[in-house]
Amino acid sequence: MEKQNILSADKVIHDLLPQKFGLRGKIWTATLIIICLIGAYAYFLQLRDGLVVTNMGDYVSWGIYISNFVFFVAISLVGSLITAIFRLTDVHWRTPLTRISEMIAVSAITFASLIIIVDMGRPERLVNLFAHGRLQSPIMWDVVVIGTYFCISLFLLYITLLPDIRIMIKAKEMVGKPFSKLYRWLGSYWKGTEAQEKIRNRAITILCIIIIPVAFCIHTVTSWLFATTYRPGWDSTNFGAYFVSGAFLVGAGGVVVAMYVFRRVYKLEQYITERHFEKMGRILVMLALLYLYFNVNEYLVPAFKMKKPEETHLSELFTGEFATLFWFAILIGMIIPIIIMVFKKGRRPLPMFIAGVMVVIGAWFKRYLIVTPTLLHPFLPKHDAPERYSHYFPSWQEWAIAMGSLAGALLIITLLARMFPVISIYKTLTDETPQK
Amino acid sequence: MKLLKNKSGSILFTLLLVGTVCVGQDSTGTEKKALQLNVSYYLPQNNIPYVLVTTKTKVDRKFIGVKDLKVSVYLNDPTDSNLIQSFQSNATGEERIYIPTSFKEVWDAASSFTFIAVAAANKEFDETKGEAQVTKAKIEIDTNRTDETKNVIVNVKQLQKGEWVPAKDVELKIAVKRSLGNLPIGDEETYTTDSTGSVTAEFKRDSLLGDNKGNFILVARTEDHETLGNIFAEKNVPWGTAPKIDKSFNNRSLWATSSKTPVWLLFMAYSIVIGVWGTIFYLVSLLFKIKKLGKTL
Repeated sequence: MEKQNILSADKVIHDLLPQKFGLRGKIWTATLIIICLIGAYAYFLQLRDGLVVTNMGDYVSWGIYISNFVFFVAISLVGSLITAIFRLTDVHWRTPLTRISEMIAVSAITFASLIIIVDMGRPERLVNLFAHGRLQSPIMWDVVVIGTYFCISLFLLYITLLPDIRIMIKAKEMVGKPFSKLYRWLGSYWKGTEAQEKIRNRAITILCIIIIPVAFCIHTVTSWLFATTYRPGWDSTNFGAYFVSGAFLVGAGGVVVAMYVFRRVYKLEQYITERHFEKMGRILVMLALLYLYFNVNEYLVPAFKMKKPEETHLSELFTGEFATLFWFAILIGMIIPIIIMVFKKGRRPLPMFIAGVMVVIGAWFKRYLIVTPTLLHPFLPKHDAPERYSHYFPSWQEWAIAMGSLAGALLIITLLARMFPVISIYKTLTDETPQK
Repeated sequence: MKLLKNKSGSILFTLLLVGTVCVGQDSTGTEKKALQLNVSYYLPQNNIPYVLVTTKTKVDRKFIGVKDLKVSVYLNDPTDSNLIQSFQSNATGEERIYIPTSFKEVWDAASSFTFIAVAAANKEFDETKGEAQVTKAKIEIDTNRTDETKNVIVNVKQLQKGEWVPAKDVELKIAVKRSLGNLPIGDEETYTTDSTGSVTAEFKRDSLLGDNKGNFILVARTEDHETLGNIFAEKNVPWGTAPKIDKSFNNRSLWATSSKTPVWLLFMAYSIVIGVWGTIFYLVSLLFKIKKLGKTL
């Protein structure tokens, strides 16, 4: 019996240790690097020539960059959902999902921080925000809370990695040389003693408690960047809850997609089981319904009153220039995934993967629809403005930078998955109710 | 009989219509445009009088000023010796004429005058005359105030045979001077002087904004009076309220500069930041503790 357990432990370690990239992995990584380089070149052009290379103007001063920023902030919220909320509510089946969600959170919040700098015409002036920042401005709150969330997410990922790092140091023949120095630098002091474990557990519990309000803050404050600005479509008291619910949905959708991909690529079917997809499917349906409820609130109430400035904005969304994109985002981002996942068959891995991809894509376009149409419909009438100011479509530089940032976030996840186990080996071995 | 009445009515109507059309056709063919030449007398603050001459004609149902019209203004008779001033009208069609000092003796000797303006004929207009008959008059404003009421007393006097006598039945407007016009002091639009040339009007505008010291200007005036013209007097009274200047601009507020952040916001923000970052630093200390434990083994 003891031998069987030891063999099982070896198998777990063998299965979950980070693996070298195969051909597909190399092609995937190279593709991401190329997209990132194109984005970097476009950003170089923007730095050299200024924001004139974008199609932003007097009215649409927040374009695809800010919608991308909101998307990254939203998806980063998943770290708190899966790790913190599931841990505090003692959800046992969370083990194979926590590391994935922590990696997504770290990569997303990194690029949320970067993309906001990209939106600045003079990025070197960022320092002025700290030198002369006004505490009254929600932008200042956002900078503070994003920085805080980044630190907490990184800390959470690191502290949960410590026992796995020890395992990887021990299994250096299996892991290979490339990262052995890094592992030693990161966690050679971890011996796994009872005293260390006790302190680590306390630290994780504190982190899980603190990350939830910070995560709520990060998305609420991001929503306040809009809601504290008097504009049609943003003038809402509901915006904080609306953003948080949307963030939970896209975060969970992102985890489902990553679960499916890692399961297939690393052959983790024994660890990320159909049961996990079934459970995540139920959560995703609940979150999609919740977000749909907030969407109904956000659009139905102003549409019922149809105040003049709101009317123009809503007409553009429902039947005008943005109607195709709007209904696409609603259907793909919420309604179709709900229909897929509400049935038991729809909560199997492949349909869940498709639903997850839909949720993520729908969420990206939803952020674009939150930012851009509102800016095109200001309360004050446009006066002596060129016709091109009444429309916005990102320039190739904007697309390249935005896609480069998305590729960058995926690259971070890919590299983290190459260096560290995507499922906690230590937790899988010690879990009271192992999933294997 | 009824039919006959109807027939005769129709014939009469047709004849009138034809006649009107014929007369209309004749008039449009030969006549020049009609010119209005108005002469108004003004005496502000019982001080230096002047005459305002306006030239107007109707174009597209609107009265507009006539420019480049030669107009001469005379005192009493349209003779060269009585010529006060000649002028060429400007685009507004208005000209303010002051009485030259050479007319001082004539002016001081008489109580009543006639100002005559003559517009010379040109291609568009025939020669046109306008005149204003004026009796010398003056307005005095006085006030009295009890605990409950504030009254404005206006006396109007006119010169008759070298003596100032009360001007009765003169219609006056009594108002407070505001930025964009005059605000009546009570419910009445106008007031009329009694046999003593006096009128008392109650001031009913409480809490009216004044200047920095709470003063504002009362105005009593006649408007296009048949014989007195347009005369008015003003008086400064301390019946208003001084404006309270908003000095909150430099206070701590959400819209102030960074150095004037509201204290409650500073307290809240720093409490949260210290709370969260204090916890993070505590977690870092736990990490160092773990590290220390690991090294001792």
